[in-house]
Amino acid sequence: MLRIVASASRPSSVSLLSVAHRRNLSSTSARQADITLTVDGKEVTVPQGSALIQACEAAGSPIPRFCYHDRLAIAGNCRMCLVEVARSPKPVASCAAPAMPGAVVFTNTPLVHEAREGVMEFLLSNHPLDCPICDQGGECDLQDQSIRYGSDRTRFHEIAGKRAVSNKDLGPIVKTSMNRCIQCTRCVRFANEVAGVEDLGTTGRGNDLQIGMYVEKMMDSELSGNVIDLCPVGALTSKPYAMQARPWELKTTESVDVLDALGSNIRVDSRGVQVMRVQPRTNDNVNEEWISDKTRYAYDGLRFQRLTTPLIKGPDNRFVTASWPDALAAIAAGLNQTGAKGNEIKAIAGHLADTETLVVLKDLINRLGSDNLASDLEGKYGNAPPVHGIDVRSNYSFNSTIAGVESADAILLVGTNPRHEAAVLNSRIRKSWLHTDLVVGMVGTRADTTYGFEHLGEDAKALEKFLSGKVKGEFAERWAQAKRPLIMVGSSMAEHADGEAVFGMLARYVAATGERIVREDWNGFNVLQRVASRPALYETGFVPSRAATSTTPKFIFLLNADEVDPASIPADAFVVYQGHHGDRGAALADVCLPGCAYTEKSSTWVNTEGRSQLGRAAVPPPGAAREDWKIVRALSEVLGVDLPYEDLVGVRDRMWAISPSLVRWDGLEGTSLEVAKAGLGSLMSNFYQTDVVSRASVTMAQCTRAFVTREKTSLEGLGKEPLQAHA
Amino acid sequence: MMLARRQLVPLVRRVAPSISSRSIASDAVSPAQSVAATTPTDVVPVAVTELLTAEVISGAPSELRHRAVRVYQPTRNTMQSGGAKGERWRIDFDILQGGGRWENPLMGYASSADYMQGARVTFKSQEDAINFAKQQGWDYYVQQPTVKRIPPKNYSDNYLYRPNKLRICKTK
Amino acid sequence: MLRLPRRLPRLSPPSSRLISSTAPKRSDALFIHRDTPYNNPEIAFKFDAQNLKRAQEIISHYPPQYKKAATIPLLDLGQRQNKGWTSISVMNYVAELLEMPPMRVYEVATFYTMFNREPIGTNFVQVCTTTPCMLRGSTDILNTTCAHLGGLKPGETTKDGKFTVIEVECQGACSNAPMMAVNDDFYEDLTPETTKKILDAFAKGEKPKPGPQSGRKTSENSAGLTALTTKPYGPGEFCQPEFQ
Repeated sequence: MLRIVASASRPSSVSLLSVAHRRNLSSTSARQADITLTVDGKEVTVPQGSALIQACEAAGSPIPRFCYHDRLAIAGNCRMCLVEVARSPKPVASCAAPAMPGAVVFTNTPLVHEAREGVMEFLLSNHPLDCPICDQGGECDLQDQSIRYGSDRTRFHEIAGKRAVSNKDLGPIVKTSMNRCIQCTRCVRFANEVAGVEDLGTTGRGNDLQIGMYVEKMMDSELSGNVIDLCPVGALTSKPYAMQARPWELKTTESVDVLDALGSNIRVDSRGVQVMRVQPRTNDNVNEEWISDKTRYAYDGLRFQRLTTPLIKGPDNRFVTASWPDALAAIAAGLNQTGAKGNEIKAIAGHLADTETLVVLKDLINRLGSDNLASDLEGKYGNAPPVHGIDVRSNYSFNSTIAGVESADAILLVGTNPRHEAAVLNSRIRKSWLHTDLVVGMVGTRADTTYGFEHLGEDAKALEKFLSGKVKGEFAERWAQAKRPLIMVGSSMAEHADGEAVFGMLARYVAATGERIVREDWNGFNVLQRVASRPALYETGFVPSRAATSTTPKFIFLLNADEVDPASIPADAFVVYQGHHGDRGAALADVCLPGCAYTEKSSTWVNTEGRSQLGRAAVPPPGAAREDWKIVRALSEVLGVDLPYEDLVGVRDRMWAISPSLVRWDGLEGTSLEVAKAGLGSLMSNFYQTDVVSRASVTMAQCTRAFVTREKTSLEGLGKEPLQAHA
Repeated sequence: MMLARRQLVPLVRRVAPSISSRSIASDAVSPAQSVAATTPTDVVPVAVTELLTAEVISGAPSELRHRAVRVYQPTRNTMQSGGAKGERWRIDFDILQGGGRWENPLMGYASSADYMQGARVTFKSQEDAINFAKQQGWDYYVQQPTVKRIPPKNYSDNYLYRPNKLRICKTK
Repeated sequence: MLRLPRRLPRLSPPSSRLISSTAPKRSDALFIHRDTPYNNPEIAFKFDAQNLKRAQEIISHYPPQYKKAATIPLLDLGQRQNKGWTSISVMNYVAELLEMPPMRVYEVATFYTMFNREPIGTNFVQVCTTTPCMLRGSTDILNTTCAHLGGLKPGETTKDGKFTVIEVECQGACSNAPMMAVNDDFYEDLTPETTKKILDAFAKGEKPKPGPQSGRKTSENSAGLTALTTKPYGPGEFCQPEFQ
């Protein structure tokens, strides 16, 4: 890390001289890990090999920049970061210059100002003056920096006018306005390095240089939305958000994403009662600075198909709106009428159920005398205890941690496609693959990851063959020598006919290899969950007992369960659905209770590595919808089994009692070392539509048409129609 | 804006004479204050063990006490590269469920019955923020900032020789 | 480098220019590909056996992981085989051969102006109009060329597809200015008459002798040598006898 050393602690020049005096030819000083230089009169120590701009930052001297980005390779083409270095005849581009020991750098001298003003003048000479109609306005680097370095008039009077560049169609997410481009190539480097779609580049030269794909093509990446953030000007802006709001109108709320199990840190920007956009939040432990397109753009699904009032199904099979007391009374009546007892009362938790509600619902169902706590895993698997067991946390968690993926030197993917199941994690694997000698092997359906891998086979047999060492090849060789091997099992394996066999096989293998895969400093056995609620489900023990598995339910409580198989619900059962969208689950229900979506409640979410994070309410829920745990708590009163907590603090105390890590937000508990037991295809066929929110989203539907079904439609004009709130 | 009061003792000292001189309504005076008020001289620093919270005398509605605030360091906007104001800490309230906000049906203006929904207080440090929340008598939750880990980067990395098959075709 | 015709904007005094009517400045050429019947990715392109052999020879000059270094020679090879222009299929084929993303090849092909991304005539006439040639009368040469080929504008191809004329920047033959390059050969020391003669010869399918058209051998003084006029020394001349 970069460190600032107070100048008092540095040796004086006298002692430096004495060091030089001591040194002789035979004892060349060892290569030092850190170097010291002076920036604006302040001494700063940075690791050797740092760029000068990093040293300046460490010294607390801000450097304006357009092309330099912390998480991308250095390009050095905008020249905005010019600084003055003593004994250098010209200003130096601080991003492309290495920090040299003993260098004396000035970032705030007339020379530097003049140089940067010159650069700014050239940048502005071809930049259109359309800030008032530009979506980047208010959060634009060019705007910010031109305040300081820009001139209010131009010396550039070219009769031929400003450069004009045609706009590109990058798909339903990124809107382009290429006249505004300043050719920093951040988007090109992002697409090339992070997203792994090497289709974006620069064509032409000189004044005619432009960013594009040369051929007409869309940017087919799950991470394409991030180029909007990266773009320092308004050349790449968000299509769904186009002309919707200005940044200063928005209220920002720091929250957590739930559309995959990664728990990406997001910032929900809202205006009034509407979520206007979702932005990433930097967290190097989870999502670095990126979020997937689903995370970023599924929010418009929060406005459509919402359940706003309680609904009771009338005799003609039509839903009738009802008041909360009526709806809760109808549920009590339904429970009585079916005469459900014990395990015949069943609860099914879905993808978007938050931890608080899971705990409260589990308590309610248990108090009603039932252990029948199922989840909406694919097919019949939700009704049985999961094959990997839940007694030991390392059995279902991403034990190496998300950041730990970068230290692995061989990765074996089993039945998973991280590109779809955890797009941001996939970019980490790519990063590691680019910068180290990482090798990746894959068992399961061949998928287009963004890094090279060796395909070892499609099914459990292939896995067995590989684990028993009968496979020859580069990957097998490297795997055998790997210091930090990492096995990544897709959560789809728990929902697969061979799932039990696969987990058993891997558990035996992990045990047989002894210290190689699981040891004190490295746990290389990972289950990659793809659904936000599952880790919390297992953490809170929201799984059916063996006895409950065989019971035919008469009363079913669906908590956000929309992926449930309708055939698994008996026709005569009384079904309650609690959730926020009128999707599959609501269609099955006799009574619907409107809950909150993730942007509307302050709740705990556990990500795939077991990190619990606190989401935050950004907007109020629509209509009569209420916070989910409160609904279940109210229901418990109507059903005559009062739960012993009345406020959120009480619920969180109960969560503490179940598992303290649930309320140690942002922290990560280490998992224990034991692994008790532990075509394989990914179940995710369409990345863009995996849950109720993304299914209700217009943007995600457009992405599906553009990238999944590949319909040939013009995307011009789409995503521009005004969206109605809670239609 | 620096609103936090750094010292607890001066707060007591300042409050105590005001009670005696301006005679604030008696129902607002808590036992803790009476103790402070009866202290013979306010020059002697009082070792305050029990914190006097501002709500006792501020007249703020008691509902406020049931709303937790979050103390956090807002993350930098990923759209911008500038780091100014990045070190500040903030206190704000969780929004109210139901009825907290609505849209005016005619004009689409956002309205709110929640007077704290727009309240944001900015501090120089975490301690200041916590101190302020304590003094206000608010329940607070501190969200720790994340640590940014950026490895040393170098322009020459673009041109490093790689002995094996290239995994990326570098470009500008 | 001006290659394709550019419509010069109307000159107007700056005082009358309004902000609202800034003339857009367009590129000389398109830097994006648009599918056309003659240029689309469906048209197959492959090196013939001879070129493939040559391509492999070129690739072998570089370390195996840095095959991409052969992009420019291979594009050139492809352009030669593809009647003098680099179609999208040529670029895709080179990318495939060098195992690199096609975009990286497009970047190279659009950067260098000597890759023609539109079809050209059989004879590619490049008239230099940079300063030394201009001072020596390249404007006349360009006008003669255009007029002689039936009133072309720079950047256009004759109807019979035999000639494409463009203006180019310095070709490095300034001492023999004015000059033009037809295909790979330089024709130097031009006058309007010699220009016409050369073009006529090409029109007939002949190939006139490249080099200075004024009777000079190379770039020696056209008024006769003023130095080095004597017989050059032979080996050992003026040396001590033992060294002769």
